[in-house]
Amino acid sequence: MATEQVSTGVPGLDDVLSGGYLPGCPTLVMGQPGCGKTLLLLQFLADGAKQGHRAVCATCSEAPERMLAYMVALGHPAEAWVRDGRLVMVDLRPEPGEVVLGALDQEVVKIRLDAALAEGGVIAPEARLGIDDLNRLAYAFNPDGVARVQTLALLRLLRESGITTIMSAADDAATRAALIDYAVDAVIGLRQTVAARLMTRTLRVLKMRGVPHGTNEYPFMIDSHGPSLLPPARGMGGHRSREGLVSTGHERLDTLLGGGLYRGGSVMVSGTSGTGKTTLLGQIAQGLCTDGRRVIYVTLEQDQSELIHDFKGVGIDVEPHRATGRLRFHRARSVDCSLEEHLIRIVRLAEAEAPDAIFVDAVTSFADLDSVAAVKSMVLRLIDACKSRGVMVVLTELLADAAGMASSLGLSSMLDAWIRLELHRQTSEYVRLIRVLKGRGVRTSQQIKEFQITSAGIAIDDPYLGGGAFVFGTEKLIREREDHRERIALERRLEQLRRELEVLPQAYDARVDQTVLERDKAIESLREEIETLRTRLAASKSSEEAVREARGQP
Amino acid sequence: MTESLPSAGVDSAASRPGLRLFILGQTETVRRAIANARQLGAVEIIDVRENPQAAEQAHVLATPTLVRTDDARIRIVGDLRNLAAVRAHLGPPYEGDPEAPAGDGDG
Repeated sequence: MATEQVSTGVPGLDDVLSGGYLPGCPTLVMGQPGCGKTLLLLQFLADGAKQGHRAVCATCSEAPERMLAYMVALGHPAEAWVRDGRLVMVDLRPEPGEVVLGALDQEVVKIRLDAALAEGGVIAPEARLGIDDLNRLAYAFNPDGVARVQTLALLRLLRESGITTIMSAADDAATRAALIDYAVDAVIGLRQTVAARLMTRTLRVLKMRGVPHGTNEYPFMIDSHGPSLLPPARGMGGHRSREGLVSTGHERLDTLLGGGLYRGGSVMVSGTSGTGKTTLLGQIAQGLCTDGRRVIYVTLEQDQSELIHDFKGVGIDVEPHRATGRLRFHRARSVDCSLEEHLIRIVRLAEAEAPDAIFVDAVTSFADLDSVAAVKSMVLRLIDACKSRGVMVVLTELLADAAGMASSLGLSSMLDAWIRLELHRQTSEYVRLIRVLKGRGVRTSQQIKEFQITSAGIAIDDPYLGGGAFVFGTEKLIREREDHRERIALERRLEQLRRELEVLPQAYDARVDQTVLERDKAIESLREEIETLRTRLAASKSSEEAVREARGQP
Repeated sequence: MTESLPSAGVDSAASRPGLRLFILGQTETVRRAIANARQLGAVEIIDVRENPQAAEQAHVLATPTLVRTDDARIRIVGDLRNLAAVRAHLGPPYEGDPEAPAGDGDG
């Protein structure tokens, strides 16, 4: 008996089962018709055959040729495996016209299976057994219970044989009564539900002895490669480190983002309708491809030809990149399939093509399919899945006009960069604005810039910053022109004052000179007058003395 | 291991198509089935444990299974306890055969 769990061959299922199916034990896959039970079983067998182990496919209702054809359709070389003996078909369909008369024993089924499993008389521990539609095995699940004892004996033999076995069976009362309790160590329930007219398949582990396993209902999808699922836990914490910044090919945008976008990072472009989200994505795609990077553009809204045409109209020519295959468009319509299937398809693209970046325009289109909470969970897993594969993921989010431009998805914690585009209304026009709400680990611009879509791509301009207010658009031009006139006037005045300043001191100096002159003149004349008067007084005094002396008076 | 035994009704053996009885081991049910089958004519007895390939080719899902060698679609599963019903299902020339002794019912 093998000690390690056995790979399921179904992408994602090993994670849900903490490693795979129980080794040496039977696992029951149960569900309504069309759920994908047989595909799970076939992938399990093909996975074994691929590794060179013996795989036995026993079928209780479908012809063995049909089962082989299914395997071939899943892309497996089933016919070659049958020829080289790796894959052995066992036809357990009842013969029509057979009647039962008296007691019977079903151990022969076990003997036939053992003979098919044995190589050189020995059953290897890696051998795998699949029994499809076990509930259709003749006599075994007869509702009147004729062979109940015999059936349980057979199931016990299968369980005790130590062979890793997958049994598929319809989910009905007889299956539950006979199989779940007696015959198997693990039970996987498959279900299909229809919501919003879209079918979703889900898988749940109902029982698994001794192994911790996921207990949720996991959505899964079936495409030409068979079933696959994407459990939420996958990749969590296992993100590759973001190795440096990648230029967007647009200098101003790089500056705004603090240098560029992280390789393998996550970017969200949010904005209301008409803000230029898709154009911005086109610009970034163009820049990345010019740098030699490979981009897959998943478009949920426009066709490839419309996008190429629209991009070209604003001077972004992506056609050369499309021609070289560096840029690949992938058209998806939200109503094509369920949310889960969209997720798995995109992750498949990321896996198969290993691009440098995946663009999804717009993730909010998925809201046609499910609740906001479900879309958010899906987008989180999408980001997670891309990051864990080192693929940059660039998403757009259409914001509702009525929601006050609030993000309904609220994914901030998962984003490395978050760009917000806005329409700003002023007087008679709208102008587009761009700002970076978040840039992890880089110095992004805190400023709101004007975002213009020109005939030569996008342009990012500084807003008018005068007068303590931000002004954009035409009003920015008007304000700027007014400013210009005002500035010229001021400069003239300044020049004038400068000249006055030069002239003024001279004028005053002249006046000062004049005043000094006048002052000196005034002083001089006063002095002269004083002197004159003193002279005259002295003269007058000496005349009086001469008269008195002459009269002989004292 | 394949075991061919002459049947009781030797006279008609040549004209009748053969019968093949798939059994597993030697249980009371098997012994009863062999005894009942031999009353019908020549029977090739195959133990599926000895010859699983034969069981595979004949798509045997339970033992005992009695198969007409000339027409594998005619087959009866069980210990053949009601020989009249067995004859009726096997059809001519087994059906309503007066020469063969009557079956011993539930044994």
